[in-house]
Amino acid sequence: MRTAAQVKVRNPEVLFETFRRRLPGIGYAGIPLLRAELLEFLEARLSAPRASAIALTVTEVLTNLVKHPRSKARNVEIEVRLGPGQVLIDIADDSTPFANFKAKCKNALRQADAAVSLAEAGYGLRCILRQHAMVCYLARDESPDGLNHFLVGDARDDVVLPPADSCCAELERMVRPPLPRRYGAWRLTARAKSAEETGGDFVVSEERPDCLMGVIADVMGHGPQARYFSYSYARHLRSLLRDSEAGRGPGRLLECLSAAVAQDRLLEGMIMTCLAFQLFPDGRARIASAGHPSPVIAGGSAASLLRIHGVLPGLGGPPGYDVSVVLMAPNDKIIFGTDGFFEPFCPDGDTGELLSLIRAQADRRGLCLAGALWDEYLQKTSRGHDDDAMLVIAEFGGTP
Amino acid sequence: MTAETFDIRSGQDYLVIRFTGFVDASTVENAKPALLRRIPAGCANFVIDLLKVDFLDSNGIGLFVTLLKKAHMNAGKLYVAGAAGQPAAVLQMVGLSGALVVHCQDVAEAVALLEKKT
Repeated sequence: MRTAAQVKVRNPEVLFETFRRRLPGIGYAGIPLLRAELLEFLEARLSAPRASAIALTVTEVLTNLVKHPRSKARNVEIEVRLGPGQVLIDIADDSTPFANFKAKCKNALRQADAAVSLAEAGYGLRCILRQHAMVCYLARDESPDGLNHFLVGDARDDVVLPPADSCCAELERMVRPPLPRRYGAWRLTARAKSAEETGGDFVVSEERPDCLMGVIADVMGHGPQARYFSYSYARHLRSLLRDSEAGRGPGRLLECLSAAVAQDRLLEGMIMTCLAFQLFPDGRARIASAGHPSPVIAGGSAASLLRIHGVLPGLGGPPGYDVSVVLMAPNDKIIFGTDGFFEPFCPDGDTGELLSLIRAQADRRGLCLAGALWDEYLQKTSRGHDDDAMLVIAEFGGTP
Repeated sequence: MTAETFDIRSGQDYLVIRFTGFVDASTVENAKPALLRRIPAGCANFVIDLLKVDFLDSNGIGLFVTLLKKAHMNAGKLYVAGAAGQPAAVLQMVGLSGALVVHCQDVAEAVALLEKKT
């Protein structure tokens, strides 16, 4: 039986600290004042970057309410709830609903990893989507109280397990078992660096009698959200690798992943790129990409990008993912990297320097090449590069 | 945005626009036309000084992109100086980087780069 004390602890008003304001409409002039009050509340409870991220989100939503609706809001309710481990933002209003919200989110997510262009818009929505794990919108005709609701959910950053925590390390080990060093005539080498305790880059693989199948993934962001989502994605990908349908090949696997992400409200709010590969004992490799940087094929004194394109998981677009098939000669290598690894070599998108570097050492063993590239990467980023990075080299040693 | 929240200083082939306080809808909506009127036709390079900016939102980004377009049209560049904290995080989030934008520690660094170029 529950005691009174237990019941009290379970009372949401005790668990949650809430900032709440109800306004008879909103104008531009009112936004800074409200933001100042919200910041005062948040900064007393959260880290400064987290507080300013939430304040920015609330500012963007309120600005939208002033700028866009055909009929202006006469009732605006703002609620920011800080719970144990989570933040919930609910901005309700009675103005004209936000039209095509999902399509606009998808558009903003498509642009989210690219440099700003001279024509695009939607920076506000992009900021919100990039900052938070869960973003959704309930139009007033669907909502029980007849108000539009802009809802944002997130993890708090003050409940992160410390880096040396053994539980954290154990979870890491369970979710991300290392790549096998060998598979038939293939030799595999991986290097990784996390910007914070645990980053969003990971690789999962499954050894089968006929092939080695794996996925390299990059969950955008750092810190608790990226960690949480990389666990979720890694677990999901491991199940897909073992699934008889999804595990048929890289293209099918990405299709299944994409369909699952599109149906999952929580996962849909997070951006991930990934690349699926299948390595066969005869030297064939099959590769498909979902928004991930193209791998480099190297051998002898040659190196070139294997250009593979595919939409980010969950975004829809044309059905299916293209699969590239490569037949490797002995000592050829496939160099896979996440954005964090490639970016310091190609800050303006020019891969010339990276390819020259690889060509100069393409005849070295995969392990040595990985060491050399990784040293170069560390040197390039020694003055600060706040991103996760992963490098995987698969070298074909020849038909056994 | 009023005279208290931004000022403009001209250089040889550039303008330094110093913002202070909030660069958000509450300031940008009114002052964007005034700011754009004060930009001479053909000005190719802009230095945006964000050292004293406390808060930047997507409306501020929209204004910077307008300046970026002007710079691009006149074969110039946009220099972003002194961004730190919240404004720097927002610039990074929306991807305001790349070949047309140069991020500098401060205005002096941006001006030195511009004067070296000329």
